[in-house]
Amino acid sequence: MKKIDARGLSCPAPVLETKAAVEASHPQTIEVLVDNEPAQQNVTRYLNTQGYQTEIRQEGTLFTIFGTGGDAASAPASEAVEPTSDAKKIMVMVAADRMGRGDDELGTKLMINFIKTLKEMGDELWRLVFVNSGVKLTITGAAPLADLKDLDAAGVTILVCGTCLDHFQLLEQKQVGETTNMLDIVTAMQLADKVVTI
Amino acid sequence: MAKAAPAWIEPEMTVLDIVSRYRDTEAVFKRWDEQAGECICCQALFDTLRQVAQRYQLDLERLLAELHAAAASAAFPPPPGGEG
Repeated sequence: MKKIDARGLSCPAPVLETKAAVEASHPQTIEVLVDNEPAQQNVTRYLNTQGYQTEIRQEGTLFTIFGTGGDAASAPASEAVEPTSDAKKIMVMVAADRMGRGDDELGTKLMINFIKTLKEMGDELWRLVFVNSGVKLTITGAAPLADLKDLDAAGVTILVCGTCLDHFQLLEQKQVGETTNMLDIVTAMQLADKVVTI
Repeated sequence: MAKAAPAWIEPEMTVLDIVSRYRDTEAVFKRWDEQAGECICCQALFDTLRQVAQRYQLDLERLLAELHAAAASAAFPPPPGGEG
């Protein structure tokens, strides 16, 4: 296990040290000690973007972040681990607020039903990414909002394109998911076993 | 000897991407913390520069210029002995 003691450091240093360790040796398990909350949140988020499952233990102001299962996709070929058949990670990218072309009213109904049905993918649904007008599904009053919040609570990572929210002037209305950028989206594509675009 | 590639920072790069590629840019973000009202590298590390500028109402062009200057000076340090 790779251990990093980042106590006494403020951001971005703890994340940079973690990033350097991950990029240098792609450890399967990593433990990072930090002593402030922004560092804990940022290190956790960084590890999640790299495919780690994270667990946080807190003792007073000391946080220990455990990362397990570093993603084989980001490891050098010589260290790559064969994917297991029961560990598929599916990323679904929703690039519009309705499904298909032809009739917008029908497309809207289909999209609501699609998101409602996504839970049937079970643990294989890994990330749900909203871009372009798809971001409108994540805002106040959106019909699929309750289903998206259920997916979020169930552990699905929901990423919402910040540039798109900004374009539609909806930054303040987003109700679910993390506002993200193209680098996060591309990294998620790289880490996923399968990417489905709707 | 080959020169290092000139620094180039885009508005769509995240703060993390920028500070990890060009370490000297951290000092620029620290300088802008006061205007932002909080630590940019703590609270907006995964935001793009454009998002940071909008979130804190910062002058994106000026921020970009300062980041470029910091990154470029690191890529092309002054010769030993200083100026002249």
